[in-house]
Amino acid sequence: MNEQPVIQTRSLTKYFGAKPVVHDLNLEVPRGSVFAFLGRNGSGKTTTIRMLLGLLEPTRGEGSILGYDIRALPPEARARIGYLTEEHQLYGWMSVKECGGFQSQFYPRWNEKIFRGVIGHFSLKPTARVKDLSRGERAGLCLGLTLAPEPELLILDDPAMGLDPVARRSLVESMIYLTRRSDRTIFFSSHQLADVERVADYIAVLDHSVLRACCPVEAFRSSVKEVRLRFSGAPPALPKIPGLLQAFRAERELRVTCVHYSRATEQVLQALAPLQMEMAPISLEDAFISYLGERGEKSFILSETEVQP
Amino acid sequence: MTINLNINTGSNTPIYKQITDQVRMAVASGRLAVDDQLPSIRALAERLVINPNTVARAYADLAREGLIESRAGRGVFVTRKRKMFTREEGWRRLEPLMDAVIGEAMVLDFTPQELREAIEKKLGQWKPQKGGSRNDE
Amino acid sequence: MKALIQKELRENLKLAVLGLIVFTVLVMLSWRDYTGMMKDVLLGLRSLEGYRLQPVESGLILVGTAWLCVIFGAVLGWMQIFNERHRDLWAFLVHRPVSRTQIFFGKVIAGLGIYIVAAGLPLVCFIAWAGIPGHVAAPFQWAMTLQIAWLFLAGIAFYFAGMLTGLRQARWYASRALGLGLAFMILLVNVVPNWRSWQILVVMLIGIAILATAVWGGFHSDGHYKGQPMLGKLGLTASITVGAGLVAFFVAFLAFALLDNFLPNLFNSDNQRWSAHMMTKDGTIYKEIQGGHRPPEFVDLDGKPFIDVKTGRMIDLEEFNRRACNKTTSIPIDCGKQSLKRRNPPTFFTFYQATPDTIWCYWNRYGRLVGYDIATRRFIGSVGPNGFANDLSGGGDRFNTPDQDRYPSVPSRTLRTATAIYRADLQNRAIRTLFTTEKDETILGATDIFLNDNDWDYTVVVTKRFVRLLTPDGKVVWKTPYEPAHPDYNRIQISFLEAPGQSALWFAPSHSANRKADWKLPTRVTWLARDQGVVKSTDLPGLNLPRSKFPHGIAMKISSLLPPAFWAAVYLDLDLNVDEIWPAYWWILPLISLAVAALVWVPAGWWLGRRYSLTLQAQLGWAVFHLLCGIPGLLAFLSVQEWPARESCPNCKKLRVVDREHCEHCGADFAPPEKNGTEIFEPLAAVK
Repeated sequence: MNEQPVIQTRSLTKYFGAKPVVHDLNLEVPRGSVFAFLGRNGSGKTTTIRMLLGLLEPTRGEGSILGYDIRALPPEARARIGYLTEEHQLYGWMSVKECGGFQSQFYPRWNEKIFRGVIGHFSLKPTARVKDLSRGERAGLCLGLTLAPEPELLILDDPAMGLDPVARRSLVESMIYLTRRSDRTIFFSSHQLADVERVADYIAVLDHSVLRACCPVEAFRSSVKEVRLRFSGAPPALPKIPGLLQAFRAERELRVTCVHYSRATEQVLQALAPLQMEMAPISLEDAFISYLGERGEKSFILSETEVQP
Repeated sequence: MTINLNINTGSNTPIYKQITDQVRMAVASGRLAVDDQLPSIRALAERLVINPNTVARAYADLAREGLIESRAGRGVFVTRKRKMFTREEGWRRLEPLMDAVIGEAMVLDFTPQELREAIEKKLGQWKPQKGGSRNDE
Repeated sequence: MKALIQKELRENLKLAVLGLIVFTVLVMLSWRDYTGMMKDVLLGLRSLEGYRLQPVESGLILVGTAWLCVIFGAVLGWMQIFNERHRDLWAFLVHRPVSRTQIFFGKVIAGLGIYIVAAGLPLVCFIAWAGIPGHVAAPFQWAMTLQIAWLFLAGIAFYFAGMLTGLRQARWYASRALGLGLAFMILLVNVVPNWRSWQILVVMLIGIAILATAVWGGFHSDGHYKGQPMLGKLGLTASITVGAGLVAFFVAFLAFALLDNFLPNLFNSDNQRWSAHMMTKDGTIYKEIQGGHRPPEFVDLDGKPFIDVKTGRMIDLEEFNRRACNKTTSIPIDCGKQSLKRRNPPTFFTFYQATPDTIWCYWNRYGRLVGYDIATRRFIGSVGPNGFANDLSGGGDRFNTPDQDRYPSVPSRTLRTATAIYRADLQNRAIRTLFTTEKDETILGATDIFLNDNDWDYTVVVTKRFVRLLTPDGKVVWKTPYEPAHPDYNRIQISFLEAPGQSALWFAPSHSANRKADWKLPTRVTWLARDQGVVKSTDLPGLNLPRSKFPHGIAMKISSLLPPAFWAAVYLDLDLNVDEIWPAYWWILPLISLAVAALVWVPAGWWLGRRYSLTLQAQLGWAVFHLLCGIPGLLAFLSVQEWPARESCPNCKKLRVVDREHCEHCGADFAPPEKNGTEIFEPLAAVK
């Protein structure tokens, strides 16, 4: 399939005051993919999503979504995009059923079965008031409202935030359900690496408002390597290592995580003359944490602090 | 028959690799026989709650190894049992597990003799399956 | 859109009910106020003088409607946005697959629906009650209810202003509320003197349209200036400019007041003295010289100081006031100028008199006295020059409109036509002719004189040829020719002196005639005595009046700060007789302000525009705007636009705005963020 990407941005930039919160973002989301948008809090994920949906005017740069300019999204584009907001806000005075009734009047393709299915999945009573729902229940309701119009593109802004494991599982199931049709695209931001690992085809990582990674999930994990070096005494000082993410120093051990491990990296490490050097496999979450954590050499966060008995 | 696949997220092994490993192991141990049908990509993805593309990738890897094949319109089937790993590769996989067992036993103050006996006993219980026979419960 | 309207109605139901209750309470209070007053009148506990007999014109309902419409409108509009204040809720709303215009209309239709029901329904009921005969013992005309209707409309302006305040994402928090300034001005046009109802309506509708456009634009850009359609930007800027102008006016007013308090000589640098003629109780005329930061001096007509014979000291203001003749009345002369009669709010009727069981009013529309029974509050009949009739118009015979206030403390006792003066006997519903003119004489004015409180002593009748003093029985006390003649002399005053039967008549020239004669026309004073007629007469030479050839001091300073658009508005209001307010040089002030705008505000705006790196087209547009709007324009410019961040250009090192693709100095692109060596980019294959 050689189609136009569903989301495409070129040098998309947003300033809040004098500070760029999204800096020169170039992103392409292929049709039919499940695309995870990752980054620490405040790295610009929500701002990006709000710009993509025409809720925030970009400072400069441009973008398109389903082929429409994001600065002027026509109603027919919105009808094809499902958007789940970060905090699952809805009108508190409405009941679950009224929410469905309200939403359905805007979408000619409204699928009541899906709505019933999702709210059933989250065990929501149709007569319950939104203001009495728990966070997870509200998320379920929002999800139902977003899925029932059968959107072509689903944009979820941190859908798992504040959900318990059961609700989170339901959410992931719903996302997988949506991929039954191969032309459906999901673009979601998340902090739940386990969910990302389950459902995402691709990830993009924002680090301090700059896009640093955009690749298939597996490519990201395999690009980050952890090497353990054992020494007879205290590990020597660390030389400059290309692509270094973190170095963790223990009594007789040095753990180094870096990206793009190559022969050159190996040579630098061998030069330290370790007793033993092994490459340990690394989980996606660990890879992500090293990738976005504090760069450079560090030790355990509270190691300097004496714990009072 | 069906196989019980388990997925661990957050592990050091990618999900697609967990699937291929488990299918290989099931075939190796005889829990899956030739011509046994595997669940469809969609069904397995929904059962495991993972992206269908991940299942597709695992199946593609297995098919490339010749372990399974897709028969048009009918589904995915196990083709034949085959030796999974080279001897060398086998040793490489076994070694860390043995290290772990021995290390733990030493910490728990077992003598080498006790450990040897325990392993013998376990091996006695383990009856390797013949290819083609089944282990229905 | 139906779903949206339903949602808005449900969401604001509580507010609607609250509004309905509050307006109902207001209407009930007005109703009780009127019925209570009528009960007191019936019991003889209260006289009707000075009261508003028609409750739809009463202060309570007008002030109450103004306040409540303003508050309810603003709160309703603001709440409709505030309900969606959460960022995600707003996103949920505008992500509906309908245009922003539809969302705007959905909200506004629901909001105005609520406003009309909650505020309009009780008011309409009240008006209907007052309009149905038997409820109110006073004339009723639909036009009387326009005041309420216009205030109700002004509430709609506040509705949009409240919405705008809720919607605006402003850099300055105070500038959010500036839209309320325009709404306030819309409310204020209701009290502009000389304006007709339709003029007020047109101005209000234009103002409301501007505010509505600003709100509509705000819906397109989630409350920001950037990203709005052009029309929305214009509406927003116009709304904010008016608000900024109001703020600037109050700040300037306070500053001037403070400066004037601490440095009184800063603004009043002129030492001009002017004088006026004053009469003492014995009929002697003195000149009072005042102005120039000195206490007034009193001199006689030869210029010698007025000295107290007992003390030998000069008479001061206090002493002069003790001696001055304080029984001087002006007699308004019908000079044929319609514009002077136009007033807002218009007078529909004036209270004439009451008997123990009836109320009589002069109703302008019919030119007759109309009577109402106090107990039943029903119409009795009307009285015209030909006497009583059972209906409103009788035989078509009409009186001329009396010269009284709408709600006078002492109502007129005489009525007149062009040729006769009448006195009504309302106990017997009869009319008595007091005086009839001689042939080809027309009555120009007639004023009843009350020397002590409510005692009707005389009536002065001015015809084109004579001035007569009549007693209440119609006996002519004296008669003197109207000289110098009408219309050059149209300001007539009568002073009653201390000695019984002694009076003095002043004939002063009209302003326009006097200006033509370069302020040199004399004033004629004629002294008259009962049974004797003219005693003597003198011409007082033209005075040194408080005027100057050129605007000076404070006028110059203030006018230079006023935006030229203000002067344009003044000039557009053709009713304002510019000539009389700013004689001869009135056009200088607008020119000064235009010059200041061209020399100061336009360059300042241009410089700011460069800071924003505006396009040439935008620069020119704003330049015209700054030329017209001055300081408020600059404030509005700063309030609507987001202050642009700048960073140094990697190519030319100059500071450049961040919201342009290319550097405005050298045209370079922005540099992409620096790479740190940990980038992981791999091509994304299309899946499946």
